Amino acid sequence: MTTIVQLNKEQHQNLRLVEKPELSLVQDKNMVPVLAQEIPQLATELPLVFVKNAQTGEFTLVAMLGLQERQNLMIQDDKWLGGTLPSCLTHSPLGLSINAADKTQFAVTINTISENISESEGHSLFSEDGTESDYLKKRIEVLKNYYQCGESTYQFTKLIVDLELLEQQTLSYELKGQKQSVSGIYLVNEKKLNDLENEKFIELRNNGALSAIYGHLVSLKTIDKLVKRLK
Amino acid sequence: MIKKIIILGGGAAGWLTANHLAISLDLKCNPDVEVTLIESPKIPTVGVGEGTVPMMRETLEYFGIRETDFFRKCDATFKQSIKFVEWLDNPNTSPGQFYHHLFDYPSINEFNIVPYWLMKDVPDRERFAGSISPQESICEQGLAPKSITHPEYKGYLEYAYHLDAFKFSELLAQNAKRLGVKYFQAEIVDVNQAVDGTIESISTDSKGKALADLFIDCSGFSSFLLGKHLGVKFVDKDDVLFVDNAIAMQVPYLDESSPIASNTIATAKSAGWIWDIGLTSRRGVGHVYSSNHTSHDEAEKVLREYVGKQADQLSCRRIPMRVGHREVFWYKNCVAIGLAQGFVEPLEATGLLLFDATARMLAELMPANKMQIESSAKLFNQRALRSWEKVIDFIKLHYFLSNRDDSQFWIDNRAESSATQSLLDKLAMWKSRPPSTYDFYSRFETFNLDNYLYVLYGMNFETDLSDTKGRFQKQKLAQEIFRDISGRGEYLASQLEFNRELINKIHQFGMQKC
Ligand SMILES: Cc1cc2nc3c(=O)[nH]c(=O)nc-3n(C[C@H](O)[C@H](O)[C@H](O)COP(=O)(O)OP(=O)(O)OC[C@H]3O[C@@H](n4cnc5c(N)ncnc54)[C@H](O)[C@@H]3O)c2cc1C
Repeated sequence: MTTIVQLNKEQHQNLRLVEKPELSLVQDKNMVPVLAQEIPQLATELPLVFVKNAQTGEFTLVAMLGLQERQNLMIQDDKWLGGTLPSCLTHSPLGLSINAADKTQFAVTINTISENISESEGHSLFSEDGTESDYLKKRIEVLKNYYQCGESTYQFTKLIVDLELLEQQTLSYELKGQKQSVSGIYLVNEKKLNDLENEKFIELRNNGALSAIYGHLVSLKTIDKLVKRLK
Repeated sequence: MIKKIIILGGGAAGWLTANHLAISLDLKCNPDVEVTLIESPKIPTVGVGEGTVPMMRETLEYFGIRETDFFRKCDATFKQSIKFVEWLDNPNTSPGQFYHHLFDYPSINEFNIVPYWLMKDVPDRERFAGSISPQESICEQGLAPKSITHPEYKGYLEYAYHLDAFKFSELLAQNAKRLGVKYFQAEIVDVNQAVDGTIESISTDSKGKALADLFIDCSGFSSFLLGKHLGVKFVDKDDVLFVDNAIAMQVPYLDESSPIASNTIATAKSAGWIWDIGLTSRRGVGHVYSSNHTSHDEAEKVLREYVGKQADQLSCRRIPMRVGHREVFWYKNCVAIGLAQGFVEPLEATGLLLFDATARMLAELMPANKMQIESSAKLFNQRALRSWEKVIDFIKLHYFLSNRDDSQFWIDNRAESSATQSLLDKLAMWKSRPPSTYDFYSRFETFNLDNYLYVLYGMNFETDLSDTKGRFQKQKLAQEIFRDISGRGEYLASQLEFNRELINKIHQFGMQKC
């Protein structure tokens, strides 16, 4: 049974939200999706790579949090060990469900078993007269903004895919003197990037994709930081 | 120099040839050569030919066609096998018996497990294909050969496609035009030959004369240039293969989510057999039969019975076929590709395969000038003839090994006098040893070791190893391999989606190039 339902004032009038990242949800995940807009902040902390969505085969930009399946090296005792928290971890228990046919139409959803839900602590979602509280309005704006950035991240990824810059590669690191590697990930091939026709290259620069691509490439070095957390 | 080439005919063969020439001659950049395809707006293409073999994957990729586009534009589906139903025994005694000719070729190079399968006791021996490859069970479950995360043209298992013949020609046409092939519509009404018999030009009904150095006849069964005007004789093969007519029908699915089979189903009947090919929006079904062994009306009835009640509302179309091939395929400055070259019944989807292979051969052997035509033609004719003979042997095998004796058609088909000597020679050897790669002339043969293994042992051909038992002592290893294969089958089944589900995803999300 799904625990994610559409938020409505009849059922959820008295709910309050505690505002903190719900890290338990990703405790055994070795990656989370990130936005292209987050690349500059995250690139110095986490390897940002592309993986294929198992359901659709489409490429998704993710931050690596571990070196193998089910390993998350960024969370300890329910605390985030890094500096910047990927924004996807800040929304729970709220979410948006977008109408596929008309993307301006959406519904706000809530995960009813979230540990951030309370009846006594935190911010109210609805005022006594049943209208959305200012707090909820603010949260919805944040979600909408997140969704829009998600769309542009999708376009950014599509651009890289269409230019055939991605390539399945392994990311290697050393552990106790042994060479190891992460596979199943896709990275921009620098040679292909440099070989692009001038026109395409300028297009990438002008729409901001180029700096995001460099951010992605620079971020790969941070795999060593993850390895250090292993020890 | 060969500067102008005309392709006559815009069916699958014409456009396959156009694509091959465009790539080989680099038409887009090459200022020296011009290839033009001419097609009659009035004479329709045959419009059948919906089953392919794995080579098609290579060809599409070579043409630079995205697999995603191909699926979206040609109503294409995955084909992993041909399932032969009721070919072995009389249907009244064992209804529904079948075997698969799979596309997954197990690697038997390092260790050959075939003899170990042969040494199992016949009554409790599992089906051959199912024992040596996980693909049989994947087909039986209607699963796809790959997942949505596989790159285009790659998968867990080998595969080919089912496709809509008209839409496929259309896609090939678009691609050939993109690659620089010129095109116009007109009917060719006459051929103007020099004294030595070479074609100088062809006359059209509406666009005047067209000159060229080389003419490629892709006019279909009419063989307009090579057969009709150059008089190259047709070599009938109706003494080996008896079917000479087809009745085809298009059967819509009952609803949008009806499952799509992962293989062609070829069901033997008393005077021929029925093909059943699942596309995305409909099935293509047809009865191929020998008019010497049944009447057209009876043949149509058999097809309608096979389709069931749904057939009552559906019309069908009869296509007469002549089995055999031209004596030569390249004569003077005229080369035939496609049905103009010859035809055998579509039992193993050899049509497109042979035409694709010969079109590529032509493209690669394309002489630089007219003086070289003769030597290129000689080589081309030798190779192509060999391919035809091999295909005929292989098709005949399916009939010859049958135990059916429930109609004259099967009795005649099993008569030794109806088999070719080359086939009889091979079978004689394989009575005491399983086939080997060395039985096959080269890797370029159309049907090779694996294909023969699937059909021979699918049809319970007996290879007696009693004198050679001593050579096969690695029973334990063999058992492990058999177990691994079935384990892999279970693993794949847990990973794979149904054929239709994956195809829907391909339509929605596309497949990635890498
Ligand atoms: C019953 C049946 C089932 C088949 N099933 C399969 C299968 O499952 N798999 C497979 O691979 N193959 C199959 N085939 C073979 C397949 O149909 C052919 O390989 C394929 O369609 C190629 O046909 P073609 O291009 O040679 O001829 P056609 O499709 O007949 O095209 C002939 C073209 O020539 C043009 N033309 C003819 N005369 C003139 C003229 N005088 N002037 C101008 N233009 C002219 C026509 O307009 C047309 O464009 C099957 C064939 C039959 C008969």
